[in-house]
Amino acid sequence: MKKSLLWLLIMILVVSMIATFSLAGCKKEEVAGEEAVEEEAVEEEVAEEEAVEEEVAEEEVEVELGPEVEITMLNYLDITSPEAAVWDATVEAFNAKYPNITLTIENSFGDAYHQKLAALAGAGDLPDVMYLWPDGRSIEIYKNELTEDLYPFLGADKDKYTPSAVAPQYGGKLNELPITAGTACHVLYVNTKILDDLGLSMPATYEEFVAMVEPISAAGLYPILMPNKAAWVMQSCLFSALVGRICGQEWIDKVLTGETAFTDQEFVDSLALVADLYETGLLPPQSIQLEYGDGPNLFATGRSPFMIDGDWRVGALTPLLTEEEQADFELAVFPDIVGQKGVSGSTAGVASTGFGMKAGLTGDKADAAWKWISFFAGPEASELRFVEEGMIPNYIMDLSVYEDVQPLVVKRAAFYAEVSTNTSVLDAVITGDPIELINSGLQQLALGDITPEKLAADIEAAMELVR
Amino acid sequence: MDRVGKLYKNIQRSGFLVLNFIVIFVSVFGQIPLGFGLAYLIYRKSVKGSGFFQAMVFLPMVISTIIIGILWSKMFSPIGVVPRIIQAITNNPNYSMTIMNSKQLAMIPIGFVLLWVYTGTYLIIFLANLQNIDPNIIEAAQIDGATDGQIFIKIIVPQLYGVIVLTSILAISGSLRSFDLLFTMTGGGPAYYTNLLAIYMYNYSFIHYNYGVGSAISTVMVILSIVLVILVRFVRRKVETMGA
Repeated sequence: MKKSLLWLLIMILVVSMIATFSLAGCKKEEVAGEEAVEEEAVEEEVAEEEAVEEEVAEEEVEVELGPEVEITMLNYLDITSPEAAVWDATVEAFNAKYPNITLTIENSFGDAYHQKLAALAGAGDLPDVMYLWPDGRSIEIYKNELTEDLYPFLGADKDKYTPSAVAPQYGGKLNELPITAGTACHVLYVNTKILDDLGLSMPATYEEFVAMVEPISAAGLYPILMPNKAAWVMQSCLFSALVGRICGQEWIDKVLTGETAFTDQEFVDSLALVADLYETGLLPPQSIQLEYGDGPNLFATGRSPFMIDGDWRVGALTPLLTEEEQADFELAVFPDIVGQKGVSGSTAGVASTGFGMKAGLTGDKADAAWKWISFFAGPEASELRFVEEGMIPNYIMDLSVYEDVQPLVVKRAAFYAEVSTNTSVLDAVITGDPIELINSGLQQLALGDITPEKLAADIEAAMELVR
Repeated sequence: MDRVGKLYKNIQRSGFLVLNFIVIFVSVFGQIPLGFGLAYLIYRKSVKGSGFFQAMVFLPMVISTIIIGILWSKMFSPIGVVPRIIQAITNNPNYSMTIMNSKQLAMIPIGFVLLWVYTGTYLIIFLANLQNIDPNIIEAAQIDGATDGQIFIKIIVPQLYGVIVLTSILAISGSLRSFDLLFTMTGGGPAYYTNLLAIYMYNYSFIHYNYGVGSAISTVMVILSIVLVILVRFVRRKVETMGA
């Protein structure tokens, strides 16, 4: 009974399957006819749509944006500083030009920036674009080949930039696209009104500078304002210029290869001068406890007739001063030092900084990253930085058309013409243990914790290991 | 061997082991006794508004240590609040705070901040354990004529040996890995005056990418932790044996 039921079921299934296939076949033939008619109609519709799209594409060819892309960015910016306004304007301009590119920005500044970048590099988690130095402070990133060479992206546009600023960087690559023609890391900012009030004038020599300590201190002011709690400030903004002045650029070039030594008398004299700055009171002891960011506000509020910092500080000072007040401020360099071998009136400078691209970026991400990098070094962003901060752009453009710029910005532009010689900034040419020793050692010197001779010997010993 | 030699040379140069021991000392002999003392005051109801008092002491623990570091760095700055207060108290407008410029005194502000931040944690731990002590025992001791001091030394402290050891271990390990607060407050400076092991390790590993020296420093930190924890347990056994 069960067997016959099973056979019956199988038979029903087989018959139903045959019936289904044969009916389906008939239907297919009928449908095929209907589909042919429908396909023709669809083809016509598609052709019409394509024609419309082509027309639209032709109209939109000038503003072709590409796909939606998000790029991550680590930016070097003190968001509490007045320069932040220019940055915001730059990002706004970029967003308006490329609405399809979303910038995910993280801002950091000073040592914290370098530490963050180093930690991200160590973790293999670098952002798509990051602010970089041509050498020195970013050298480890380049040594580990963590950035993309920008020359292939730059292509023929290379001619639009100052040749020296787009010269090959570490490893013969363009690791970052510089935003200015160069950076003067040492500037002696002068408040001439305070000097006039005190009956003083610009010192021509170091001795004259030291002689000013007493009248300035008696007026309750800092003789020189140089907040250098961060160890790099003394080395980058003053000591490098002093080495360039006392030892000369030739000596610096030779000490890197071992032809001269850090124990040479001229370098020891440079260290001794730093100690002397504190001993004579030109740099007050509390300057080693002042945060780097404190400088512009203290200087703008008349707490000192002199401030030592980099040329970038014009951007922070300008918004703090009215145009009338800016007339009382000048940009100069440290006065001459007896026995100096370097060029009188020189400063220390580096090729400019700019954005670089993470190694391995391809496709739309790489295109979007390059759009940001070239925009930031390009005409729109350069114009904003020149007008507001006086940064002379790397991008070749006619600056004479900008008449309505701040007085201090004009003075910054004039400063580059007056200072003919740039010597090396030490942290741009020395890395690792030796620069760590120099940075910390300069603070030890200031605190009377080490002698110039001992520090010079320590630096030379550390340098011998890396030469 | 080269790395070990380099590390030894750097230890000699900066003396950062001494700085780490200062932090451990402040933690073990500052935060714990202070936390214990404050908890005991609250437990014995010697303080009015104990809830508010407790909240105030614990408050720094709910603030990020990074924020605390930046905050106190600004407070101790030559243009900060602390020098201004001293100027007002001493009536000396020319007073300038340069305590951090002294190798011997640079750790004092840090010690103060460490006490301010972490005492609250130990207060909570001790208070919770004090509340577990049977009040009948204290009452019985009082009926027997025991003084407050005797109750504290003979009853309270022995019952909290385990907690004291636990907090000591927490303090020691916390001190050795202490990084965030000091890093934001001083960055290890000026010179090497506040450069602890962890900051040194960070600098070598992530600034100079010298992972060899960085990992050697980490190893020293782990070994030191283990040695100090063994020492604490040894002291506990000795004290318990003496008590018995």
